[in-house]
Amino acid sequence: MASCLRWFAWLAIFLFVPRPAEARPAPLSFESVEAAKADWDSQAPPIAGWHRVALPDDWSTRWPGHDGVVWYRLTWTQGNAAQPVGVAVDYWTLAGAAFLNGQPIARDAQLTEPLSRSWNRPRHWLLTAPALREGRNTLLFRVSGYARYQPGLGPVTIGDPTRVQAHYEAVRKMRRVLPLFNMGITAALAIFFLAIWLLRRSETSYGWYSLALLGWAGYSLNLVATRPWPFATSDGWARATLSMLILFAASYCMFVIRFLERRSPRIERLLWVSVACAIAAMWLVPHHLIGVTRTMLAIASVALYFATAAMLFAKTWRSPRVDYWVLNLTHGLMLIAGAHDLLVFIGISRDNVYYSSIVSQVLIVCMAVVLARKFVSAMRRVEHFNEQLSAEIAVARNELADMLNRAHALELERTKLEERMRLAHNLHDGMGATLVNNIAMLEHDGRAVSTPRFLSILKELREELRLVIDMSAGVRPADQPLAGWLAPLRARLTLLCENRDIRCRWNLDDLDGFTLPAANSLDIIRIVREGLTNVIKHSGASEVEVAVRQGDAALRITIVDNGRGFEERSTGERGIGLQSMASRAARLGGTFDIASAPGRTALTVTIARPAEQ
Amino acid sequence: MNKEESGHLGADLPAPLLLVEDEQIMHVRLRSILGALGYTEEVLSFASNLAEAKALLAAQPFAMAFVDIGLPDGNGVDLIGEMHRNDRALPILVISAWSDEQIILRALQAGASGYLLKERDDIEITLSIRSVLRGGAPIDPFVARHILAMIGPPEAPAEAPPPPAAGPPLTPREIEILTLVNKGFTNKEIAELAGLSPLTVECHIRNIYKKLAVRSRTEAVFEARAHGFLP
Repeated sequence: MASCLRWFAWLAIFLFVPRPAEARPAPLSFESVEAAKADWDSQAPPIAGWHRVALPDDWSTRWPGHDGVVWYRLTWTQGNAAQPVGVAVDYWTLAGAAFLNGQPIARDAQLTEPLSRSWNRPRHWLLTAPALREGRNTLLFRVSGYARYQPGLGPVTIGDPTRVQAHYEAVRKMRRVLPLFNMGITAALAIFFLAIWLLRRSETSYGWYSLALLGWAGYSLNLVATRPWPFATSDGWARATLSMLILFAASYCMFVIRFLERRSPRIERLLWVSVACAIAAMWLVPHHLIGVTRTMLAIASVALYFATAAMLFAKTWRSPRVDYWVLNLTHGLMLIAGAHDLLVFIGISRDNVYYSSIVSQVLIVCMAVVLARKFVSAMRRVEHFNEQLSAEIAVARNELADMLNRAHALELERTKLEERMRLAHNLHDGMGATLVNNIAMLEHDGRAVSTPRFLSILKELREELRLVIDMSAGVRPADQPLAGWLAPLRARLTLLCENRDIRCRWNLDDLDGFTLPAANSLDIIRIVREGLTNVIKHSGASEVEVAVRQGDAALRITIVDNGRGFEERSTGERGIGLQSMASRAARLGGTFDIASAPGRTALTVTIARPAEQ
Repeated sequence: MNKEESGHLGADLPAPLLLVEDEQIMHVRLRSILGALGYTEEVLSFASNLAEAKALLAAQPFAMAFVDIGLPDGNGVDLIGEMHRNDRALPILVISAWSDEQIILRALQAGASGYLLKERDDIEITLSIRSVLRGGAPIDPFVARHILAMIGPPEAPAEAPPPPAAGPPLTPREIEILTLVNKGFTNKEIAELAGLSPLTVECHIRNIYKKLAVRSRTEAVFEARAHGFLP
């Protein structure tokens, strides 16, 4: 806010600098100021037709409709020609040349169409001898202009060179430096807001404000340009300048509507249709109607601007929002400046200084405040949103963690249950089956059971218990390959074979990586154990081969020995072992075959190959 | 019965033997098995608890010891450690009720040179003892698998690996032998496959056990303290 205040102070200094010196009594003054009209090609001042005039002069009031050249003749009496004299002219409209005692001292580049644009360009000279004479001196100004563009000569100051120089500097500041500065800032801000809008299309108020600033910069160009380029005629400049003013007023109106976060498509459509019509009219009217068109459209633009300001005030005067009040205040300032400028523009006021371009500095600063506030409040919203979001994320995370914990607990419970089920299943399948079978046998034929038979029953139970314990304690991973299941059995049985000088060969090469469900693997172990134990105990063989091979659809277990064969001992313990093997094979959905002869007994179990895991 | 499995091994059986075992039925069983191997009653000293064992150890030196794990007045593993520290050359067999590999591994690390499983048939226990008497060491696939898991080779299907071994690393040959044991090959089969004598294979396994028993740093500190070298 402090910097804002400094701006106001600075502008106040500019606004209230000592006015151009026409009000101040000069020690040296012109004795006569006369004007005479001539045509476009006039090379020398006319002989007759001179009228006394007062400066600043707008010849359109005296000679309405005169487009062409008017000569101004200013005379004074110089006491001492050795004393240099300063002369300054605030402006001439539009193009011109200056002569001292018939000698040219200044000349615009273009004195016929397209005319140079000196209407806002002050000049000053230091007049010295010999061009400066003792006694009567004459300053001649040849001014080319159009009746509808306030043609004429601005105030001319003569006197002490230092004082005139100071006057010139003040006027130059007002007419050239400030407008240039203003236009630069306006263009820069326009580009800035345009960039914001381009990167964030939803912020339409920035876009409209940027367009309004571009319009205003285009309008301000009229205050700054001194060359006719890029237009071929002065009319071109008038058309372009006014189009820019219309664009400014309409865009500003859109900006305020968006700034109030409103949309009214019908009014907006009407607005833009009017703008298009106005700009088209400005470019299409014939030369002799430009003046009146320009005046009317300028009034309309200013009216639109103030209507916009009034709308904002009406909508916001009850609101305590700072940005609204800053905007309303600047509109008040612009109302004063704009009213003044309108009077100048249509020729009622004659000082030929446009205040709005200066006051618009205030407007720009205020707009910077307003839009910065908007930006900051958006940032606050984002920050607040972030806080809210992180709080919500924390809540969601906790909920998720709770849910996962519950799911984990359930999963744990389920796993435990599965584990128990598996243990029960293993007990039932292995020990349970063995117990039930042997109890049945003892009950029905108790006396026939020999001690060795009883011992083997107990040992079978022990081996079953070992399997159940290993499975339950996780000593054997349930998903290990079949070869892994067979390894402990193989080691023990081979050792027993070696002890009895039985050469025992295992053929498991086919099983690399072959995995079965644990229950199936256990059954296969039981079959092999039973079969090979039988061979060790009863066959008297010197060689035995155990092979487990996987075929396309079946798994085949073969145990071949070269022992004494089978017939003679098909009953008793061995018979019971064979029965249990057969029943296991049947339970696996397989077949059990014995081909026995002295010297070669082959035991084959073929089971449909369960789905590999 | 085959002559090999019951026959006397010869006159130079290591004796006397210390048997630390609290179950009377196991006394009977061991008497019978050792008797079949050629031991006479006089050279067998039975202790039913740690105290008796220590008293016997204090009274006379032994050529070999059998130690049960679960004793009424303490843990057999501690006794094995103590005996091993006192006499590194003493062959000690641990007797395990159920083949809990964690206990067997701890006993081997404490200095046992082999193990007997009560759950096995007499003939199997006889074979194990004979292997030890020959200078070898009994081993089963599950023990081999756990040792492999401890040294962390790629093929060890390690579940809950025991504490990392602090000792010299195993040689490639030793790892090869353990891998074959894990697959279910007997020492004799391994000897044929590797082109070694069965005795050499057993010797390798014994060396593997010795490497397990090389004390970890903690154990060394413990021992130093026991001997009063450290506060």
